[in-house]
Amino acid sequence: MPRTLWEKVLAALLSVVVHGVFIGLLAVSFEFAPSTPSGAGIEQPIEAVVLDEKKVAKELTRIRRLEAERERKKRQEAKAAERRAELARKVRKLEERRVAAMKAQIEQKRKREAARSKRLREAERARLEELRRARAEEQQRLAALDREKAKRQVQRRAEEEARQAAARAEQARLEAERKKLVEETEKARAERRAAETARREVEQLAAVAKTEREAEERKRRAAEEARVKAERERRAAEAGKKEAEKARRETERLAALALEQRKREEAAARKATQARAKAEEARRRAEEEAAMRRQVAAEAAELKKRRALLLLSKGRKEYAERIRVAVASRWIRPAGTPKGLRCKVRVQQTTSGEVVSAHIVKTSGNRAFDRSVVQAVRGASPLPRPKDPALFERDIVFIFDPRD
Amino acid sequence: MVTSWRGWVVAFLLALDQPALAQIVITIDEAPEGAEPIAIVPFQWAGTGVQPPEDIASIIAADLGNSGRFAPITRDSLPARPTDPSAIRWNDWKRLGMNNLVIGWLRQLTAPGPGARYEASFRLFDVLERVQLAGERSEIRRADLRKAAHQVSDRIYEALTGERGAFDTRIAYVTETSDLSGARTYALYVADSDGFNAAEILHSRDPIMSPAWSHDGRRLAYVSFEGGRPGIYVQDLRRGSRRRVSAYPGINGAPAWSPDDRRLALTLSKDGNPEIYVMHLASGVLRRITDNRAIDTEPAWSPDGGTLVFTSDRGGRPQLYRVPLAGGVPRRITLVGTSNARAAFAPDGKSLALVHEIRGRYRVGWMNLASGEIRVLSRGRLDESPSVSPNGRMVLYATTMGGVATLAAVSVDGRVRQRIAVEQGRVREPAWSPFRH
Repeated sequence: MPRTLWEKVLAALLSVVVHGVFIGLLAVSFEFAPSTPSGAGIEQPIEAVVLDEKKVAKELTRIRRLEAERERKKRQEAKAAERRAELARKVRKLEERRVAAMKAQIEQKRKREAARSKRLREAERARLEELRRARAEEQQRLAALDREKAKRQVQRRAEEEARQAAARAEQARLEAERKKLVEETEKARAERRAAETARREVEQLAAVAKTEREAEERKRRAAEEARVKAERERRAAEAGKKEAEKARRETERLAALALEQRKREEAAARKATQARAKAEEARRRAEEEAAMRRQVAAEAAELKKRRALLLLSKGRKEYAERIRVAVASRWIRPAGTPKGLRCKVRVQQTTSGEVVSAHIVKTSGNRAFDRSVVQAVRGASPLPRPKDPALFERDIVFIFDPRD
Repeated sequence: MVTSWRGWVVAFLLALDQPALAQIVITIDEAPEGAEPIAIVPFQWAGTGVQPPEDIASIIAADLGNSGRFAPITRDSLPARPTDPSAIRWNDWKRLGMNNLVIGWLRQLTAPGPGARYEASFRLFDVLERVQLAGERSEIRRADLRKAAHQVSDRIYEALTGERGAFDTRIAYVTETSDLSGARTYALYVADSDGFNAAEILHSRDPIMSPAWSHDGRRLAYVSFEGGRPGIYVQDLRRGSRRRVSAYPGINGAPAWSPDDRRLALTLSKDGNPEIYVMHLASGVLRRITDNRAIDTEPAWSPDGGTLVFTSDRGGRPQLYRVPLAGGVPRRITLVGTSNARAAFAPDGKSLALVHEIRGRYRVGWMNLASGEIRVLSRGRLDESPSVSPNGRMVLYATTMGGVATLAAVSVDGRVRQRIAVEQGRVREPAWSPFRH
């Protein structure tokens, strides 16, 4: 065995030489191998080998099988490769679809967002529209209310004027009446004067009649005396017929005179009675006239009182108007009550205007309406006081009758 | 005898000048119409926490204000906040023109929580007469606080107007919501008349329509398209049970309860085209009311149960017709407007709410049956499904505000309009319940 390095190297060299010799031998041997003839004409003997048919057939089938296998394997591989390629395509397609779906989702979300913000904006706009419309309608309603108020004010003013005109007409009528009454009194006075003069005439006539009667009386007495005297003379001068004749004639004459006197007396008496009757008549008429005068005077006095009271009632009207305004401004007809309701309330107040009681005299039938009416009256307490304390009224009746 | 003509003159003058002897009579004939001012002082609160669980005074103020007949004063303008009658300075309120004053308190009795109990008291005063008009004290559970506030509103309303209040009532309505995929869900809700405390009665993927309250307030009839076809269902609200009462082929719609709740008027198209029928609920027996080639639908019972008013387009455009239940020829009752539909009677039978169209704008109208006059109450472009409050003073309807389908209520004199806020989705088909029994 080689132990030292030198021995090892020797061994290796030796092996190489040996191997070289063998390889050389091989090469020589190869060179001694027969080579194919290069040239035509030289025939080589056909080296035929006898083969076993079965073996050949088996070999053939084996080879065919192998070929078929190889083919099949090739086809399988081809199919597998195709399938892999397909799979790869499908995967790619799925990927693409997934990406597309995600994109679509994002699109949708974006669209929904846009739609929602658009809806919100529209909602805002619609709401602002609503507000604007509501405000416009409110303004219209207020304008309509103002117009109503103005119309009612105009109406009220017209009514005032009508009322004042009526009052003025009243005044004028009263004036005319007064004038007529003054005329009447004048006429009455004139008539009284006429009656006076008539009475005086009558008195005069009576006095005349009286003096005439006295004269008659005296004359009658004188005639009596004369008659008596004539009787005496007749008796004294019964003897003297001439004197008797004369006396007879005298007495006849006296009698005739007496007759005349009596006639005149009667006439005077008749005239006196006539005068008395006329005087009576005149006196009665005068009394009647006097009575009528008294009545007219009394009526004139009444009228004066009426006029004074009228002035007083103007003050009352003003007082009532102030109370009306105070209560009407405090009254709200409750919403939701039907139209056509009417209510009467009796109120009692103290002299300072404090409402001490408010009772419903005639209900409207609706509780809310009744309450609103009582509240309006109580709410206006203390009621306005009249300018003239004499106009104060403790009891006031309110009629709430909205014209609707 | 001498007749003095002067005597006649004086007598005449005497007659003219009456006032001198009679008392003063004042007639007031001008009347601005307005809402009655009322002051509602925040209720005094005694309990845990600074704020009470419900602000009863503000619920009362909202109720009374929305009725259109009262104008509650704003809180900032209150001159004082008395909580005891002895603390009231009458002249302060009178000077402001507040003729009515409400004070009250709310006190906590047990620990806070859903089962808590409270005690509440209110008093209503007439400021001018200085007299209490109404008042009550009662114990309430937490869940009933809003209801109690509405009952107080009813008491105040009755004391001041003489009419029954309808604040403690409920409304039913249908909502539609869609999720992100675009699928729609429908739900039927019952809530307080101001939209609070909504409770779901039914939900479905198919449309729900035309809820109708029975007159005893216990049941709701409605149309549901579950199963793909329309059918009429009656649901008991207390028990939650329901039964289908009509499922004829074709249209089954617009149920309306008779005043005694024994019959339903409804629309069926099983005999060719939509006609009105009356069904006896217990037996299911049908009686046909209309027989006409036109569309007859939306029946409404008069409160005396003797007449049906319905919508028909037999004259060309939809109009309202009335037919006596005893039998007879339907007669048209709406004579103005382009078209009229969806009648809803007022409780006194003298008026009805309807949808009144003028040249493409659909608004809620109030029709006086005697005169035929229609007063337009709402302002939208497409207002529908009017329903009348049980005291005949307000009309609830569906409208569109700011592009959103929502509910609104208007007083029958048209003075006050309010929106009823509902949380869930698009809202339509509202129905006002009768008074609570």
